[in-house]
Amino acid sequence: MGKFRNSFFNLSQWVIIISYALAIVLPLLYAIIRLESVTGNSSLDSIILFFENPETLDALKFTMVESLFSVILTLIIGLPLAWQLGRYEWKRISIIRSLLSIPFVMPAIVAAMGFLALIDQDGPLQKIGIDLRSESGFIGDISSLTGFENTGHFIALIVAHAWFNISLIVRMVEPTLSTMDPSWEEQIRLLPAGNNRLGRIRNIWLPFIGPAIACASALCFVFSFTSFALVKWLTPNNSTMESLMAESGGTAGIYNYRVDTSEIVLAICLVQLIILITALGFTSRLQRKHSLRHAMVSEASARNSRGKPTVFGKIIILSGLIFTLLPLILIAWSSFIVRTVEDGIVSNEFTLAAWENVWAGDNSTIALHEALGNSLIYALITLMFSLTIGWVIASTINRLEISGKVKMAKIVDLISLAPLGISAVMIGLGILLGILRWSPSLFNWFMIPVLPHVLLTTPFVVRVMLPAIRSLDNSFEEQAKMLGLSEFRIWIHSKLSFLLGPLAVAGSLTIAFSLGEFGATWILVRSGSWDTLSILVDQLMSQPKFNPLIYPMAMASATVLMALTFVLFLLAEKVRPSGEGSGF
Amino acid sequence: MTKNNSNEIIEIRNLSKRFENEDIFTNLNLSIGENQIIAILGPSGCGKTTMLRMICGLETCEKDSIFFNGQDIKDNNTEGKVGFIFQKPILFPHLNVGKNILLGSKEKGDKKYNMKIIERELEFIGLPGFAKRKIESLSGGESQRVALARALLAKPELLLLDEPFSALDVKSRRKLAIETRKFLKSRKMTAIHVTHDKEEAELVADRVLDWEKICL
Repeated sequence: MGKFRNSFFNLSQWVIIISYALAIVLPLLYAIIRLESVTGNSSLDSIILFFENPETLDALKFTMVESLFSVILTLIIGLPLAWQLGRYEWKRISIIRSLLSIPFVMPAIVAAMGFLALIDQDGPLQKIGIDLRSESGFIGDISSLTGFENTGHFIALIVAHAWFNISLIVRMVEPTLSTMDPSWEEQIRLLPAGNNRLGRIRNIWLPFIGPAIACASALCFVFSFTSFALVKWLTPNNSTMESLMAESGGTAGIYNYRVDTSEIVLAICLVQLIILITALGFTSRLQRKHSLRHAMVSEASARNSRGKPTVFGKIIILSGLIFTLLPLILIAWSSFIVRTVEDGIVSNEFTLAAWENVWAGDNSTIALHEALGNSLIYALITLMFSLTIGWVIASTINRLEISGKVKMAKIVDLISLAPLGISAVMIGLGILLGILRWSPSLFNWFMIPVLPHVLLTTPFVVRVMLPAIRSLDNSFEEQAKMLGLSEFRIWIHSKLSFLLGPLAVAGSLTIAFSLGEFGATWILVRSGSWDTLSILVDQLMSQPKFNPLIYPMAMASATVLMALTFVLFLLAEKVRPSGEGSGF
Repeated sequence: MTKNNSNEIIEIRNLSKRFENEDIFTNLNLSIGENQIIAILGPSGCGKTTMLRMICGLETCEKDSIFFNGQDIKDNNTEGKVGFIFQKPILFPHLNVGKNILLGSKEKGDKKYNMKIIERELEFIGLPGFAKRKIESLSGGESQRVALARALLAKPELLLLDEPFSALDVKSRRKLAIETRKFLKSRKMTAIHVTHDKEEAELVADRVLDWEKICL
C-alpha cells in the first residue's frame, strides 16, 4: 500500500512539474508559430529583419544603453551601502537591511509613480534646481552638450532602476563581506601583494566579491532590460524592446491586419529571448563560482573584529535610506495634494478629495475598493497555485539531489527558473497570442491573469523553499516513524513545522509580487471589470490631466498598493529565518 | 627612542594588553637578536597570539612598548617587514599553489620569470611540480609549507609563526617542525614561534622561552 502511495505521489509530482513546464513553453511556442504564420517569416528571417528595421534597432540600442547605465548607477549607489553594512558592526542592522530591500518588492508602477512625484514640477528635485521633466537649467545643458534628446527622462529612468535594484547589490554582496573570514584580509595585508589598497582590491576583494557583484549586476541588467512600467511612465518618448513589444502586441497575431506589428513582436520576442537566456546563463554560472569561493565565518564574529561604523559610513547609510524611502513618502504625500491653476496662479490644496473620488470610482473604470478586491483575489489564487507548485518543484529537486540524480535535479531547477528568462510582457503576449487567439472565449475568463502571475511568482517560491527543504534534518522523520505516527503526522512534525517560516516568506512575497504585477496583466486585462490596482493606477495616469484630481487619485491608488506590499514585506522579514542574508 | 643593542631586531618593553577591563597579559619583556629563532611556550589563551598580532600591527599597542630595529612601531609601522604564518594556513582558494606563493614576491616579472620563482620556492619546500595544484587538493602539512614558502619569499626581517602545526597529527608536526627550522636557517631568518608543545618548540627554535617568565 505504501509503495503504491509513493508511486502515486511521485507521479503527481511529475505531472505538476511537466504541466508547469508546458504552461511556460507552450503559449510562447504557439505564439511564435502563430506570428510566423501571420508574417510569413521564419524565426531566422525575423531575427534578420530585426536588425534591418530602424524601429527595433532603436529599441535595442535604447534598451542596451539604459540597462548598462542602470547597472553602473546601481553599482555606484549600492556598493558603498553593501560595503558599509558588511564591514562594520551596525545596531539594528536587520531593520536597515529591510528598509533598503523595500524597493525590490515594490510594484514597478508604484516606483514609477514615486519617481514621477520626485521629478514633478512641485517635486523636491525641481525645488533644488534639478529639472528632469522639462529639462531646463543644467539638465538642458547636458542635453545640448551630448546631443541626446530627453536626457532628463533618461536620467530619471536609470535612477529609478538603480532605486529598484540596489537591494539586489546589498543582498548579494553584503553577505559575502559580512561573513568573510577576517584573517584572509589580515594575511594579505602582511604580504607584499597586499600592502597597499590597490593590491588588496586586486588580490582579495575583487576575487571574493567580484562574482557576487557580477551576479547582482547581471540580474540588474535583466530587470532593467525587461522593465516596462518605469519605461512607460518615465521615458514616454523612448521605447525599450519590452515596451515596444507590449505596445505592438495589441494588434499583433491577426491575419491580414497590421502585419508590421506582428513582425516587430516576433522579432523582438526572439532577440530578447536570446539576450535574456544568455544573461541568465551567465548569472547562474557566476552564482556557482561565487558559492565555491566564499570562505565563511559567522557574521557576528567577522563583524566584531571590524568595529563600529565611521561617521562617513553613517552618512552613506542614512543617504541610502533617504534615497530608498523618499519616492515612497512622496507618493503618499502627493495623493493629498490637489494642484489648481487660477488666473495663472498655481495653488496646492491639502485635501482628501482624491481619496474620496478614487474610492467611489469616479473618473475611472473601476472603484479603488473593487480594484483592491480583484488584486487580492488574484493574489490569493496565485498564492494557492504558486506555493503548491513551488513546494513540489523544490521537494523534487531535493529528492533528486539526495538520490544522486544531480543532472535531472539541475534540469528541474532550470525549468523552475525559466519564467525569469521570459519577461512579464512576453509571458502575457504568449498567453494572449497563444491561448486566446486559439480559443478567444478565454479572453473573458477572469482567471486568465492568474496564469502569468503563477508563472512569474513560482521561481521565487522555489528559491525560498529549496534551501529550507535541503536543510531539513532527516532524523526527525525517522524518529516520527519510530514513534508509529501516521504519514500525515510524520509530514506535519518532520517537514511542515520546520518549513512554516520559509513558507510564510514565500507566501508574502508571492502575494506582494502578484499584487504589483503589471506587464502581463496590462496585456491581458482590458475589459475593465477585472482591473487590478496596478492597472487602475496606469489607467488614471493615462487620462488627460484637465481634472486636477486625476493625478492625486492615481497616487492614492498607488499608495494603497504600496501600503499592502509594505505590510506583506514586513511580515516576510519578520518570519524570515535568521542568518538568511542573501537571496530573495 | 633607540635600542641599545644594534643586533636586536625586536625589543618589547613592559607590553600589556587589556580586553574588556581584563588584563590578558602585563609587563611582557622580550628581545630577539638577528638570525635568531626563538620559541615561546605557553598555554592556550595566555595571549601569545595577541602579542604576535601586536608586533605586526594587527592589534594596537601602547607607545614605547615595541621597538623594531630600534624604532618604536607606533612611529614606524612594521608593514612589509614582518611575515606571519597563521595557525590555519591562509591560502587563497581562487589562486593555485604557484599564484599563492607569488603573492609573497616583491619583484615584478613576466610569466617565465614568475614561474622560475615559483619553481625555486616549491623545490625549496620539497613540493616540486605543485605550481598548478588547487589549494583544496593540499594536505594540512602541504598547505602550511606553501604558506611558509610564501612568507619566506617576501623576505621579511622577522617571521612570526602562530602555532602553525597545531592542526597536524604528531608525526607530521614533528617532521614539519624539523623542516621549518631547516628552511628558516637556510634563509637566515629571525623568527618568533609560539606554541604550547614543548617538543615542537625545541625542534624549531634556538632558544625556548617560557611565557610566564617573560611576563613579569
